[in-house]
Amino acid sequence: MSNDQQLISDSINRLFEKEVNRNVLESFEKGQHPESLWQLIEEGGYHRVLDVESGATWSDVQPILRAIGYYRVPLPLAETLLANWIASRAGLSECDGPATIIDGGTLEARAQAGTFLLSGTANRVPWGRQAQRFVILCKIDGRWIACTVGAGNKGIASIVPGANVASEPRDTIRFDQCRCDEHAHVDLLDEDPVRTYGALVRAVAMTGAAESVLAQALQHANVRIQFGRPIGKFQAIQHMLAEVATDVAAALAAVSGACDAAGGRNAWIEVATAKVMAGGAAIRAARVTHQVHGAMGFTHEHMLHYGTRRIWSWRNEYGSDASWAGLVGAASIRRGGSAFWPDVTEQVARLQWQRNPIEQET
Amino acid sequence: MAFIHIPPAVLPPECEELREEVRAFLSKEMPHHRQKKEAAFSFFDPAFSRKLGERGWLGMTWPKQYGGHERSFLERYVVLEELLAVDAPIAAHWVADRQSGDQLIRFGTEEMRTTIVPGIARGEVYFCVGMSEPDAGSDLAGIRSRAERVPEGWRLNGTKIWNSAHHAHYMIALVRTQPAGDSRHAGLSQLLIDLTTPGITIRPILNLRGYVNFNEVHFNDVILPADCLLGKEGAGWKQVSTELGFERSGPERYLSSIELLMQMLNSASPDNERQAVALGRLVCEARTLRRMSIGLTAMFVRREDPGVISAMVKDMGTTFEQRIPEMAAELFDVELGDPASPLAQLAAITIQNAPSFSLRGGSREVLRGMIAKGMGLR
Repeated sequence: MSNDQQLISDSINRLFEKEVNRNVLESFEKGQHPESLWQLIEEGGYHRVLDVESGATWSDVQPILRAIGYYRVPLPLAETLLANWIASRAGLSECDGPATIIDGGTLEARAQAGTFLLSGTANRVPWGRQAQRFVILCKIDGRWIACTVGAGNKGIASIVPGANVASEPRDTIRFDQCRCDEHAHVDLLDEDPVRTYGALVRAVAMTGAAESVLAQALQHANVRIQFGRPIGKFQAIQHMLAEVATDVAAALAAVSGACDAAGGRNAWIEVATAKVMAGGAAIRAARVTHQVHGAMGFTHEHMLHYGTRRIWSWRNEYGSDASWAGLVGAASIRRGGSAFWPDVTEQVARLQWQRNPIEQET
Repeated sequence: MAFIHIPPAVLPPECEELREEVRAFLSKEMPHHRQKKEAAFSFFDPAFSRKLGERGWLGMTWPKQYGGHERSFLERYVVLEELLAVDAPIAAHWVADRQSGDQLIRFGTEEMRTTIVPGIARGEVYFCVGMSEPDAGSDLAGIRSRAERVPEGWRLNGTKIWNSAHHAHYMIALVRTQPAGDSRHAGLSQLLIDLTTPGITIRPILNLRGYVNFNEVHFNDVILPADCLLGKEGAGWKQVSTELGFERSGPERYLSSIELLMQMLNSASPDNERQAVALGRLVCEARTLRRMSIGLTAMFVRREDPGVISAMVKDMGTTFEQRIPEMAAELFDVELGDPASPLAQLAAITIQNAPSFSLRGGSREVLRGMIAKGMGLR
């Protein structure tokens, strides 16, 4: 880690270690939004670290995204970072408060009087009801246009609350002739940016969540006595946890590669790798750490589920492992076996991989 | 859990220049070896080893005064991964270059360094490992080979197994020189053994495919010179741990089946979703393993203790190598070994070699025990 990354990492971990406790998580499950925690995040400026003006890279922000998973932060910090990243790259105005990102693919964007009117329904919008601003990414005439809509915009016809398995809001938002507050072209080197960068933030957060449940299981294995000794002394337990630790180490390596590639050409290849590796590692971490915790870990009282329920949710957000693996596989098959090794050893930005050849041909 | 974070590392530009040199060399040399591939998964070819020596690609990190080239571990890494990616015939020099030469430089006498090490770097002198015994596999501290001090030097009795002695000039053997005290790790020493010494019998062992892959070497009152002791008497366990560190850290721990993966990419259809998903996963794993492996090598360069990372990369890498032939059988409707299908032929060889991947250099279970211990269990 560079010094900047270490600094960010230390301060964010300190903040969450202190502030995201059992009380916050239990209240969140009961529907109470942790306002004061968001205030602390804003005071630290963490929600805008990815803005172009800050000069920070995705690799710099990686510790924050990981900490969201590790401490199960019940706030739209990842979404806000992503939304603000795109808005700032488009040169749109800065905005405090929670934000979220919407793929405009399901919406109709009609040009009118120098702006766009958005209509249609966006499903499973993360933290829709908490967002002060929506950044909606639309492909118009082959170019990406970032549109912003404030929470108070009269064109938002309805927000129907929904949730993922971890009780995080995933809302259905209907826009009716919604006049964008701002819009601008944004230069994104990606065919499907919301899916790609959404997958990236979930992959990184999953590594944090997996690391956290693994740490809990290690601790439990060393103190839980059965058959007269800590269960961590049993080889069966040791090997299960060793295997998971290896999976998590691999996922950490993969997400760090994805953060390095983010924003550049072909980032999707590294993001796909990260999502596949992190998804697999996290789901196995959830299974094994529950096994190690026994019945205690299956209770609502135990903290374990705050991590595992997030893992089960995040793994399938912004594309399943198989859908991402399929993209990598199809592209690799098209390149053929003789290109495999040269491609593995080449810088990702220089690869000639096609993510979606049908679209490119038309 | 800092110990599972591998600091990212990027290969410096000189590595990429070197890669081009190696590729140019291999594109000229490798076609001659294609037809020999059938024989075994790592082919013995002294002429090829000597050519690598001439290029300066053996003993790359060793001091020049001992015939080395004083290049970085990362440069060595690049040469290794390029050789492994085309399944080059590197069996002859492999053990000597990877671990024995380093042991001699680190623990050997000045005479060993000046007379033997330069020959390794030239690709002319070959070594085999001398660790496992018939009754001491994963439990290496249980070895029984015993060397006693005699007026001429040492008298050695015992048996070493699973080594490539049939191709080697020397063995570095872990033997007991003192009875085990409170710790079985005490009283062990490493000896350098010239395999032409009288009293040594090398008995070949056929692997499951019927090829000579390794041997059982018997030592019957073998008299060795006093100066064959490597390092300190009684420090063998510590020295062998250093040696195993080299054995567990390289790109060879995930590339054994890579040619079959390439063949699968040639035979698959991008429109076959089943194949695309499964092969995509393997490609993701390969990319991740390489990243981990380079990160690990960079830790060696910075002289950081990799802790559990070496064991993790080997465990994951060998599992990956074993899954490739299994996936070939699952994804392609061919009968393994069918002469009509190059994929089926390669898959047949690979799946039969695969059981050894998670045994050599420390079994999977031993590695997982090490990882668990490193994580604070036990």
